[in-house]
Amino acid sequence: MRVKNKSLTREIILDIPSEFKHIYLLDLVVSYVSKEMGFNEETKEQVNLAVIEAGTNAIKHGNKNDPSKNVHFRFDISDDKLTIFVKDHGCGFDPSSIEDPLSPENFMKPCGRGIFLMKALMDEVDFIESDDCGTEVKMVKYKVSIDKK
Amino acid sequence: MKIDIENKDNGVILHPEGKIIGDGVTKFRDEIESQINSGVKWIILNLAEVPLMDSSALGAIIMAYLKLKERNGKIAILYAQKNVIDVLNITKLNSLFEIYDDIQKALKSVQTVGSLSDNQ
Repeated sequence: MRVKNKSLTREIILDIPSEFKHIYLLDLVVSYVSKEMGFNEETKEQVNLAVIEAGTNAIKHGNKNDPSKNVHFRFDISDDKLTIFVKDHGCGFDPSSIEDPLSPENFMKPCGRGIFLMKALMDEVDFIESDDCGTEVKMVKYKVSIDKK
Repeated sequence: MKIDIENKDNGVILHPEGKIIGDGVTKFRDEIESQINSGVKWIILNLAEVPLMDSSALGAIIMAYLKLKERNGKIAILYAQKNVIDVLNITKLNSLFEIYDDIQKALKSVQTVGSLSDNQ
């Protein structure tokens, strides 16, 4: 884990191999970041779960559980918001292809709720097309949560 | 993450402890499948010591729900913490699973199903 100090933003970087056992390390780092942000307990757990979902997707769907490929996390801590970037080395995906897990045809499926939860728990979630291969997810949590449309 | 197992007539109470995330989900899913394969008719998940579970863990509970339903069995959730309840509410799975904060009520519900299927 690396910590950089920019002018008004502190940056924490974490790289983990694509193995599910490292999700517990990720959970510890996110807890530390949330503490630095001064989030309340409810918000801490929301951020933890959203990042865990993003990390799990990156390991499973992006890097196909290949431990030689890392998942890259960057946490930008500023006074008013936490911005999180999660990047894998997969083949990318089309966010519009994600199905609604609340629809009757999907409700009983055991998978497909990760991105739905990320969007529900964070204030902003965007998928960024990268020049090289892979998917990058950007998530934002404001210190005072905004009302989502 | 560890799971204590409390065997009962026709069923089992599972007591996982710790966050069910990462490779903890594999352990959780394997234990549930093992119990179902051993022939139990009902499972109660005591989530009192589970501060957080991810969507893959929810998927493991859905699988258990479907498999037990096939044999007229049942799964119930007991003592879920607020964070877990919030996730169940967001995903609307609170409308699918029976959720209790009283073990006697949970036992009454699942054991009734177990004894009904015994008589079929």
